[in-house]
Amino acid sequence: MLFRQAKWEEPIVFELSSFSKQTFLIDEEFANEASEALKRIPESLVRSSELKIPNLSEVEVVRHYNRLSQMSYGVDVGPVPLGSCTMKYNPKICEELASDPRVTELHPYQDEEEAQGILEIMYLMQRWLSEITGMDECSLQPPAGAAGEFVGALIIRKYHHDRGLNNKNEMIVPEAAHGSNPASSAMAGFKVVKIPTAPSGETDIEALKSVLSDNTAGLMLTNPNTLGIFESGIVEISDLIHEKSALMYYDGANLNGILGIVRPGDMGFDIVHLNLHKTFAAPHGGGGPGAGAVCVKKELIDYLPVPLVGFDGRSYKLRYDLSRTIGRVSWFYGNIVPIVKSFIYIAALGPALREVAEVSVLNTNYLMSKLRRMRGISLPYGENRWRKHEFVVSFENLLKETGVSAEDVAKALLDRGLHAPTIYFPLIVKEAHMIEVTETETKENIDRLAKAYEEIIELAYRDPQVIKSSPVNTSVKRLDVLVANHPRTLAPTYEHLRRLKSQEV
Amino acid sequence: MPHNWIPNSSPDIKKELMKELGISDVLELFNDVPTEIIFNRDLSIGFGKPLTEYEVRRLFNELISKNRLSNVPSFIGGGVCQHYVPSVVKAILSRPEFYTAYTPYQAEIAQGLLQALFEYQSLIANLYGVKVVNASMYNGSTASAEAVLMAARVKKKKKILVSGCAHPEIIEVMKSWGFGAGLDIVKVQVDLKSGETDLSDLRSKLDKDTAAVFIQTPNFFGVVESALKEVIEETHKFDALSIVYSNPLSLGIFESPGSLGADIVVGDVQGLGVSLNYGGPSAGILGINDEKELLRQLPGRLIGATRTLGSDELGFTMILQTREQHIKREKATSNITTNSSLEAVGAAVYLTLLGSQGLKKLGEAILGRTHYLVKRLLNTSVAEPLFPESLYFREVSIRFRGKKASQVIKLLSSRGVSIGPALSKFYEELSECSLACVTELHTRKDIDFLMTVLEEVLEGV
Amino acid sequence: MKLGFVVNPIAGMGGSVGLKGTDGELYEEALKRGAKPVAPSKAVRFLQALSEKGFQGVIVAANSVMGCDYLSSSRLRFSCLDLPDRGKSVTSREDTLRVIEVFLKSDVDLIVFVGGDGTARDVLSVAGTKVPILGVPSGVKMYSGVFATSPEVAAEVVVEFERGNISVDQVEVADVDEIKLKEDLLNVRLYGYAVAPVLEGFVVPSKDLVSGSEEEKWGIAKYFIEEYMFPGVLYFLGPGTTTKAIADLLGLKKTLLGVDAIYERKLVGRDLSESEILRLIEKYGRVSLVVSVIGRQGYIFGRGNQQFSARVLRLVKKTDIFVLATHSKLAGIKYLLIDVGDPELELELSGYWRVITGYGEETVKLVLPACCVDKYLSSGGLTQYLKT
Repeated sequence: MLFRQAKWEEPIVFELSSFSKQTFLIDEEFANEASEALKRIPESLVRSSELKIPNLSEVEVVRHYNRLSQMSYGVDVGPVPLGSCTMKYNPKICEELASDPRVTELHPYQDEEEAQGILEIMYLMQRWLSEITGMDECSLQPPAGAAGEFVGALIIRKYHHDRGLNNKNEMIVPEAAHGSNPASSAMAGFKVVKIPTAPSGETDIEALKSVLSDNTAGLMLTNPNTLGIFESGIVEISDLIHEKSALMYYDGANLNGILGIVRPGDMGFDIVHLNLHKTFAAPHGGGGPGAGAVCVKKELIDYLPVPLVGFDGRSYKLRYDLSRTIGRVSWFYGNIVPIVKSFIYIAALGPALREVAEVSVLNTNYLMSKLRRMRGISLPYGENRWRKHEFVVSFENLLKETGVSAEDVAKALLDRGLHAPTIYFPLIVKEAHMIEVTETETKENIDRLAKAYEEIIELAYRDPQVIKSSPVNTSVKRLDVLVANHPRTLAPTYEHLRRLKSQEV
Repeated sequence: MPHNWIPNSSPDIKKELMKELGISDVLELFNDVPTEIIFNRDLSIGFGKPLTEYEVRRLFNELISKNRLSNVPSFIGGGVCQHYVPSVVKAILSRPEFYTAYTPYQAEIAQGLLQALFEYQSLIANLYGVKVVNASMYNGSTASAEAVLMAARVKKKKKILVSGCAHPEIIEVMKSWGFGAGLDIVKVQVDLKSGETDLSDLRSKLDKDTAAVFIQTPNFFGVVESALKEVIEETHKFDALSIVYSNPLSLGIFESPGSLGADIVVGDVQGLGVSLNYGGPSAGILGINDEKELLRQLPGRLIGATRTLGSDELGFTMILQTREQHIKREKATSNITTNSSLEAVGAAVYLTLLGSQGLKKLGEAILGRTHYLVKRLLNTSVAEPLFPESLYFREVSIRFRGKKASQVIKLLSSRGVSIGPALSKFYEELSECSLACVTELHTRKDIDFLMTVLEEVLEGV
Repeated sequence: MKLGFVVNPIAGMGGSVGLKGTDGELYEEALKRGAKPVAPSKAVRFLQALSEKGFQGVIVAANSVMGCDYLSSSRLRFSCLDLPDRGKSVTSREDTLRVIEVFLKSDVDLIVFVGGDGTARDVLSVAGTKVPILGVPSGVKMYSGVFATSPEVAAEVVVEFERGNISVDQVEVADVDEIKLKEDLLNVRLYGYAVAPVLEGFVVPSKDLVSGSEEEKWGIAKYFIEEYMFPGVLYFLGPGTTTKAIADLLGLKKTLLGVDAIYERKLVGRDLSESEILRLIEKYGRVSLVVSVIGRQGYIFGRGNQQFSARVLRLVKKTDIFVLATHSKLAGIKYLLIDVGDPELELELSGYWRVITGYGEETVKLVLPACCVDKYLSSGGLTQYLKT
């Protein structure tokens, strides 16, 4: 499929016009009161520094940002097979309903009696997410997955502290885990102990046993893991951890591969976080907003962040009566808009949610079976194992034999109108491509992706320079990373750019 | 169960795919899951069956109609208020290349998104008077917590002084986030006369162990911290960092915190083209002035301008990803990944739509309304501003004479006017007080109506 | 970008005729045995690949057989030094040293040399850490961490370095002790640290100029001091930049290549020999060993820190031995290795160890005797392996 991305030499907004146009109209009904009040502002606090924000007419603003959007790429345009990101299709009905003013124009401090609709939705979400994960209660407050992990780590910390077990200061995390796992544990004051992955692709249980001690506070695990492989030893692992009076934490980023088929609660996990902007189809927004729920087993409900939504038989209320709460991880109650989108998604699918896991796993293994046979690609770890929602291949051989790297292959995919998968992660695989096509991908597109890989590899052996000079069909070609990061040419704002330009002259 | 959001769920395609894999049942792909944990029943979620789009719509409408919005724009305050969201912002944020995109790791295909975020960084940096702003945090409360952690890392000290006039929920968030690092969050008293941070209490608490002083302006009570410059100067005397939380909508007429000497600035974009959303999502602002010391410790994503390889063409990419190493070096670390890109883009669109012209006018429009409300309160017998001499912007703290605020709020609500929150929610002793908020959405009639109803409701006392 | 390019024409000749090197007398011996030069073909392969991969910079090359002879047929832009003298067909150490001096004066951004450990040592002795160096492997001995795995990979690294996609790190320059060599005993000595491009995994684009590795080492050192350094214990710090970071943080001057001893934050021994270490253990009683990973193969004992002999190790509890390593160091290393000439001891020490890899972070790695990694792999697990 031919692909040419739009290319506009779109000026930075500050350079769109040298004139000052009439901007968005603001009323002057209170001009008198304003000038009275202005006199009362202490002189040092009156704005004297220049506001260098351009003044443009509406059509210029619209065209500028529309043109910028044409030089971007999202799931609505083509596949974005990023591993562990679950970039699935965002149903439009979710978008439309969540933009209802009864959601967007509602103030968080509105009297609960007047917010019964949204509170009921939140309550149902707490229930549904508990059911999906096999847990007993959920908090919707964390604004993203990483924040959810942090909540989990804090809960573990407080739980042990309350039992006088302050020596429990070690959190065990697999080496292949998402980077936010150790960071969130560290934020909660834990020491992080990383354990290796065995050649089977599962966590090395012997290594785990070697570090388990009375100092172990918990184990953070995602299952299926970042290789897309199911930890079949999970029950044994869970028992080992519980024997040491430690807790099991589930990183829900990979839930898409097991929805409705296995539940983390049944695997033995005590705390779970979910990424609503992954598994539950809320859009990714170019880097956010997300929404991360945290679900726990009965014993830990009192530790959840406040408030939760409760129901007293008559109406829905915000509950602050959690006796051991870790406090607030954000102001207000959570990222409501993505929560509403996920609510619509789950409501619409109902029991068909299980189909999500079945098809995402089917799609993944189908693509994997095509890719693994290709020259230059190897499948490290568990070569005889089925994957679940994602798989990781290595281009190590391709690099050795042709000099074409995983990054080069990724750039060549862009040229074919396909967003690249995650590259160079997990770190336990060299020259990695971590691929997750999700259940919303068509067979045609999966075939197209496989064919693209095939073409790229064939070119790599025949004429590697072509691949190494991609992308050429995107808005721009490869960027100068040195200039971008060098202290002398660093430019994170327009002001920096301006100064650099004037220095050059 | 075939579904139109799952293209390969059609039985024919499923069969085809399974044939390729040499299996006859999808569950064979789960043969590595111990049988004792396989979930054998249907999830009891949703409404019993997959719903059609029109069924979902109807269901949602039934639920959401249980929300009641007041006829008049809401007067509820407390960190966020009801502002106007221009149609242009809605239109741009519904561009699918923006909202269905991932984080722009593949820069070549995401130049538009990257440029929009670069523009956000640039616009906010100018607005707040700082050198570098990151591409957003979750919201103002978490941005504040990250700012405090950053100060602790940089200064290698644990004591943080927080103005008692800051939003109580922000302070709670700081405490949870600072827990692992062992931060000592110390509140500075409120001057009960002015509603501003008590300067003498601040001076008594500032010492060489202080890593930073955090102050919000306008503060939680709506009061403008008139001694902001002095606070910043005092802070610097003790080799501590000055963190200032500012309302971006005020910066069209108020001086930028950066030019007053703030080292770290924080804020929230709610109101800059971002709706109330019942509290979230929003985007948090975090910016710094010292590129030598603080840039390496700035968490979150950062977009930078550069050239394409071997040419002069301008391009954008994510930069300084090795900051992670500097940040991980200490106990007071950060874990943020997904943030609030879309809201940041929305804020950029909003700022561009208004321009410096519009921002100034907006600031005056809000200031004017605030002043009007304060005047009306000073001239009524049923209520008064909690701090009568102080200058307010956007939010006003009110004391109702002789009735509990929570009751007044309920009575007003039954008359179609939303006001709040009751300050007893945060301060037990302020049971007769409430916050109120006025924005560009309120007409003179609206404010008059509020006063009329207030007087009616309280006159009988 | 300016690339300094120099070839050691005789490097690697010994291998085909059974010699372990070509330094000094060994060169004469190699010629006697009929060895042919190997380095020139590697040089040509490197330059070819460099051209194909689109190198944009300019090459400053040593004269004739040490560089320019191989450039004339390529499309690369280059200039020739007037060293060594034309017509000189047998070059020496001095020639290499002088060429490097000129490179430094010409402000090259990177030095690429074709040779082995011996050549690496020579380059290091002049370049120090002033300029990054990279080796195209053409030697018999290659224990140093500055070598790419092939001439083509070296070319790839240079091009990525030019594009700013690779950062640099301090890497060991090691060599086998020649005296011991003749007696068939392997004794690898650490000669120093050079700055070289990080070769393991071109991680996601967008990197700082200087590797985050410095920060990692700092974090490791800080954490070690806070968490594991106690009064009343003598700490022996092995060679390497990570252990040196501990001393730096304490304000002490530690030798980079030797074993130093610290007691209650004071230096009580520098560049200690095995016998000095034994004496100190007797004197202090409670001791701890702090080592880092040496070289690219993952040795924690037996390469570059032979002062920690089997005799020393037998006096220290496994729980009092600390291993420190940055992630970049561990990248690509599957198992940590020990080789102290005492199989029983090595087996005892085998197993899962915790390596300090960052502030507040420890990574579990399997430690095996260097001789027996294959045995472990075929035994199906650690417990099985330990039983046999």
